[in-house]
Amino acid sequence: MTLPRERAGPYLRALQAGLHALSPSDVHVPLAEALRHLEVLDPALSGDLFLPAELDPHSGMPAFTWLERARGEQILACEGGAGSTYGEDELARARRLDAALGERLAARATAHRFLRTGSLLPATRLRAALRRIGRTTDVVLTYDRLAGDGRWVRLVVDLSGPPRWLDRSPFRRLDDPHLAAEPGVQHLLTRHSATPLLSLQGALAEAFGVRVSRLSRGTIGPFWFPGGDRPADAPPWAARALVLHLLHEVVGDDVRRDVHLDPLSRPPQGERPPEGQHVFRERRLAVSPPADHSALEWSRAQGQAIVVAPLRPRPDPSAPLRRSL
Amino acid sequence: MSYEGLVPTQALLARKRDELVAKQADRLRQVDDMLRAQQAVSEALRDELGALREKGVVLDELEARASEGGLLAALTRTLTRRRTMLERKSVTEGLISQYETVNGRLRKATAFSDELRLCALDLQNQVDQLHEELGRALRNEQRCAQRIREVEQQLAALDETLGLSPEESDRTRDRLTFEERTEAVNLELFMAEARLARQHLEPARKLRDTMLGLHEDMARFVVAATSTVNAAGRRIQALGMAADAPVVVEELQQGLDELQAAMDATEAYVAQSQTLLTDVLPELARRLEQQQDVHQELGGDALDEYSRERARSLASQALQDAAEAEVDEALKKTSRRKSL
Repeated sequence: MTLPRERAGPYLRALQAGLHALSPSDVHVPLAEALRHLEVLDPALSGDLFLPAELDPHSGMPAFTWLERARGEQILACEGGAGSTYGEDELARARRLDAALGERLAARATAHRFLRTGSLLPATRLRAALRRIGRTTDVVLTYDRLAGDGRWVRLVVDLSGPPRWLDRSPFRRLDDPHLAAEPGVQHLLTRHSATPLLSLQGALAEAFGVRVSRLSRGTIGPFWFPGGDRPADAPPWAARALVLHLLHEVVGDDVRRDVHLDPLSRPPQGERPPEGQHVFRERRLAVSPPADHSALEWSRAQGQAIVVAPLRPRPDPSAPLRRSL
Repeated sequence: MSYEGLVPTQALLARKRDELVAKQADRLRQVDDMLRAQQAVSEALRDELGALREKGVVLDELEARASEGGLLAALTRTLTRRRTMLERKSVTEGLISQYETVNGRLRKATAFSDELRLCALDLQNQVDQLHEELGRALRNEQRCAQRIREVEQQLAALDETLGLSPEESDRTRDRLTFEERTEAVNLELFMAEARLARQHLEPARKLRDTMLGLHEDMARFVVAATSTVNAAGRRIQALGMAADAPVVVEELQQGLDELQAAMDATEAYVAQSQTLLTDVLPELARRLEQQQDVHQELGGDALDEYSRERARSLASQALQDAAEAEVDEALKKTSRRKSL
C-alpha cells in the first residue's frame, strides 16, 4: 500500500502521536529511535527523499522498504558522503541552476544533519548483558526486530544458568555488563521472533541448555487509520478512528498469576507455562477522540478493561516534538 | 568608438586564457573523479546485488526441505539439536543484512546521481558563458572592422580633397592613421577573444556531454535498481512474516530472478563507463594540452606588429567571417523551415 505524498506527513505525525499517547516502556523498541525514524521520513523534514510512502497493507505500519531507505541514508550521512556537505552558497547556486535539484539537495543536507543526531530503529538487533554471577549466572538478551508484518517487536529473554555456565555458553564477556553473542544467537531469535510465546520459551531453553526465567515480547502495531485496512472483526467504534495497538506478553517467575487483558484475542488453549511461572498478556490502545470513550466502554463491556489513551495528532509539523515522556 | 563591454588588453586576455585553462583542467579532474567514483559505486552495487542473488541457493535448499513435510516441521526437527539451533543461519537475517548493504549502496548512488546532475548544469552554465563571450567578441569585431573600412575610405578621400592646407591635411592623416592603428589592435584583440572562446567551447561542450551521459546512465541505473531492490525488500519482509510458507519462498525466488536484469544493466553500464575513462578523457586532456601550445603562440609579439596592410586584411577577414556567419544562419533557417 502506498500513500499519496500529501498524506505521508499526516500519517507519520498521527503515528508519532499514538506513540506519545501510549508511552511504551523499555519492554518495547526504544521510543526515541521510533520517533526519530518517523520524523526523518516526514516530507516536512526530508522532502521527497524517502518517498514513496509504503505501508504494510495488513498492519498499517510503515513498510520495511520505507524504513530502510532512511537507514541507508543514515549510513551515507555518517560517512559524510555525497550530499552531506553542501553549504548554503552551494545550495543557492544549485537552486539557481535547477530549482527541483536544489530543493532535493537541500532536503538531503537537512536529513543528513538530522540523521547524524542519533540512531534509528534497526531491522534486527541483539544486545546481551550479564545480570548476575553468583549462585546462578543470569544473562539478559534484548532483541529488536522490524517484523515481517511491519510491527515493531522487542524480545527480552532472561536466562539463568549454573555458576560456570558462561564459559561454555555462546556469550563472551566484554566491558561489564556487556556480552558479545555468537551470531547464531541472533539468527535463532530472528527465525523465532514470531513463534508463540511458550513455544519460544521452550526452544530457547533447549538451545541454551538453561532455564528461561522470564521472556517478554512487546509489539507496537498494528496502526488502523481511515483509508487503511483493518480486520473484518474490528470493533465498530474503530471504523473512522486512528488506533495504535501496543501488545505486551510475558511469561516468567515474577508473574504471579495468569492474566489476559486483550479483548481482541482469546487466551491460547491448553497453554502450560513452566512450573512456578504464569503468563501475562495485555493490549493497550491509543484511539483518536471521540472514539476513545467508545473503545473504553467496549473493553469494559467485554469484561477486560484495558488502557485506552487519547490519540491527538500534532496538527502543525513545525511545532516542536516532545521527546521526553 | 564604443563597444559592448571593455576592449580586452593583452594582459586581460592572457589572464582570461589562464583562467579558462585552469577551469577546464579543474572540470576535467572533476569529471575524472566523478567517473571513477561512479564506477566504484556502480561496481559495488553490482557486487552486492550479486551477493543478494546468491542467497537464492539457500532458498532453494530451504524450499526443498519445506517440501519434505513442511518448512515448520523441518524447523521443529532442528529444535532438538541444541548446537544445530545456534549454528543454523537464518535466511531472513542473511537477506536483511544483504539488503541493508545493497540499500546503502543504492542511497549512495542516488545522491551521486544528483551530484552528476549538478556538475552537468555547471558545465552547461560554462558553455552558456562562452557563447555569450563569443557573441560579444564577434559583434565587437564586426563593429571594429567596419570602422577600419571607414577610416580607410577617409584616408583615401583625403588625397583627393581640394582646398586643404598641407598642415591641415597632415594633421587629419595623422589622426586617422592613429585611429586606424588603434582599431586594428582592438580588432586583433577582439579576434583573439573570439578565438579563445571558440577554442574552449568544444572541450567544454564535450565535458558537459560526458557529464550529461554519466548522469543519464546513472539515473536510469538507479531507477532500475531502486525498483528491483524495493521488490526484493518487500519479498524479504514477506519471508520473515511467513517463514513456513514455501509459496513465499517461491515468490522471493522470483524476486531474486528480477535482480538478474539489474545486474545485466550494470554490466553494460560499467563497460560503458570504462570506455569513457580510457578513451574520452585522455582525448580531452590531449586537446587541452594542444590548446595551451596555441595560447603560448598567441602570447607572442603578434599584437605589437602593425601595418595598414595587416589592418585592412584583418578587417576584411572579420567582415567576411560575419557575412559567412549570416549566410550560414540564413541557410539553417531555410532548411529548418523546409524540414517542418
